[in-house]
Amino acid sequence: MASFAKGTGSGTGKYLLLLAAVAGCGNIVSGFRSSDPLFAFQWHLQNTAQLTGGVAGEDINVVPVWDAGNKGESILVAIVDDGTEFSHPDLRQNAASGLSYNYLTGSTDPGGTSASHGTCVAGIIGARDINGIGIRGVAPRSSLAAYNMLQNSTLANVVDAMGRNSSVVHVSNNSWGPTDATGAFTAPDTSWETAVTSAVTTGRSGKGTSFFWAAGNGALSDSATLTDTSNYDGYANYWAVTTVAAMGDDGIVASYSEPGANVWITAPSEGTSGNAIYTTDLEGSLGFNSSLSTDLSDRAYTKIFNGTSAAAPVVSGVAALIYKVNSALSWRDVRAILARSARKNDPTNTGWATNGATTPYNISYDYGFGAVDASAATALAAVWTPLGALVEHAPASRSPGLAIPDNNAVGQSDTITIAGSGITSLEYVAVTVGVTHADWGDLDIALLRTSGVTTESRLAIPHSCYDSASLPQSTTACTVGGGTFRFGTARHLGEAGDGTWQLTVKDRRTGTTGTFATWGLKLYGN
Amino acid sequence: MGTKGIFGVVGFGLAALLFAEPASVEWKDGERAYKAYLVPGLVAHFHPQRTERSRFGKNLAAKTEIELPAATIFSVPSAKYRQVFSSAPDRFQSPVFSDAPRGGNLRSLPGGVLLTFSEGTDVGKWAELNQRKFVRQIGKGPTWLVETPPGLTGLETARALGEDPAVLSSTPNWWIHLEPRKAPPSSAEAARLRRSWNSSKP
Repeated sequence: MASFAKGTGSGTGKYLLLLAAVAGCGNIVSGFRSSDPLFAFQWHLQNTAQLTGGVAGEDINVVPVWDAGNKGESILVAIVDDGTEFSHPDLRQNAASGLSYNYLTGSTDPGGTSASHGTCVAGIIGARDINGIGIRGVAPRSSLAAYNMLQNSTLANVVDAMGRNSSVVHVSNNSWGPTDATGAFTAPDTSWETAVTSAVTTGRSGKGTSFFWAAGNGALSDSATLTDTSNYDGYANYWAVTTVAAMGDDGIVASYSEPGANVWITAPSEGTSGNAIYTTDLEGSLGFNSSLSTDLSDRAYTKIFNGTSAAAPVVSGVAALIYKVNSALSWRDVRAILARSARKNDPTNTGWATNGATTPYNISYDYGFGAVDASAATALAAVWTPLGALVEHAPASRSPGLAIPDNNAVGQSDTITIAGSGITSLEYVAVTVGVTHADWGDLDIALLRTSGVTTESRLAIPHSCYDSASLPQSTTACTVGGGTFRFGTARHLGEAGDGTWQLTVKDRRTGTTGTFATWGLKLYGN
Repeated sequence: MGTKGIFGVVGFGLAALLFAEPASVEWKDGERAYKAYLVPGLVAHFHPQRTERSRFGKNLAAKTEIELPAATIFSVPSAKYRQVFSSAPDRFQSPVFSDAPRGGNLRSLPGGVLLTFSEGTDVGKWAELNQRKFVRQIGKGPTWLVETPPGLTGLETARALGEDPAVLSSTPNWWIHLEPRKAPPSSAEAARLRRSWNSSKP
């Protein structure tokens, strides 16, 4: 099979015909799964080590969910992307009529004719099953809407895309963000935050829309140093989104996948083996499958879709399956279910720790709470007790005004002690840090909750920034407009809000100096 | 407005080239104040027709940096940058800004202002009284997109309308550089070189 994966287009076609015939006899995959001929190669759904480098079992464990009759029927997933070709034969049956939107034309056709990325994302979530063609999605009977916001990314359109149809949208998939691999600290506009907050608090009659967000692909811009982390992305680190990292078919983090304290969960994408995700593509030669001889012979599909762009829709699909179990769940319930049911992949990785929750969570900057497990998540959803009402607590911010010693391993620290927050179980913590410094790339910033078990949230490490406005890119100081940046951390999930919180800011490189000016916390929990 | 403000910022921008300190603009979104920094040499063009945008770039011998269905970002030779805004103003163009003095995300002004009104405001009457045209309502709440031409007019209009007591929030309808998360191929070498957060601890 490995030689097939790297074979020529004509060879691939012949092999597929043979495979389909064999599969139809039930010799390779059992029962109904056999009628989607590329399913046998969708290792992220069922990894039997069918592709060279893959490790059996490193998948999302979704087949038992389908076998139990759950395919995400009637659950609406919105795809915010560059466009989606809903005339694709593997997508059209699942397209929700009249709910898509085109920000170039104002029509309900989400403009997929020249935009392949959204078409690839759509297939991962909800390509139709048992139709005798192509692939299948994680939630192959879910309903799909798409908004081509990236083709016209004005603030008005970004805001609109977050809240469009929020009364009925269960899941919003967002495989996009600011430019990757610049190392820049990028804050979203307040209007975006307001729109997302509104959708999670008022969408679906108050149960909220679940926003899934790609962590980013800029971890290794120069193949030698960790440049970008998801911490620096003000979209992916917002409290109301669930951020998804990527692992390969060996269960190991993908080299490009950005780590961060904000990372919630991990899902399959291309890793070291080079086996990426099989999914739908634009029909014809305009998509990812264009002139690459190693891609599939049928240009309506591709096997090279990768990045956290591919990982996020896998989790969106799993969320659709969770909602199918119980559509009365809130977005917070779904997020908590994903965390509690996640699998500790790559278990020997030294980055794993446990936090101070009553029932501790495994936490990792690379993986969040672990790899998504559809069977475990849906099983937990069936017996889940809904979370209590959301409590938000923001203690008075601090203004330490401390000079940060240059190139010093100790740095400056300040503490906030919280009592009476009313939060016995944290869900997320936002941390706003104000530093006057000409190069935030010098800084090492960490939040510690020091009461009981000490849990660390590393928010920034020394790194270089690249000037996205200059081509070719050149290194530059990491500057932050206004000198204040909001970070976010998932790592305190389940811990109490009350306690002592310490923020430490170190300047770890010689050169420019600065001041630890202000900081503040906002706790979200129940 | 426009031209005076544009000349002001661009003039500042050319000075910035000399003094290595980019000019900046400020605005509010809700209660929060924001600042962006001029990127001298970059010009955004928002004509809906790609051919018209190409013609604009060709006339300036500009290099296309970012090509999107609704916008093109050009790199304009420094000798012609001032000319872009001073001679025969093109109503589809705007300066380009960065969220940080160096290396920030890009944004520009395609036209329009996002207005959120206080509860109970008769927005129809408000538009008539203020001689403003709504492009469309954003979502189901009291937020509307008000028409302005591309460029700094949107910034100045947002600032002016923000003073209106019926307006809760007034912010320019920025074009923001956002991209699909396309990844470089993962490789064994890259994976080997990847530093975990733990091993990078000081």
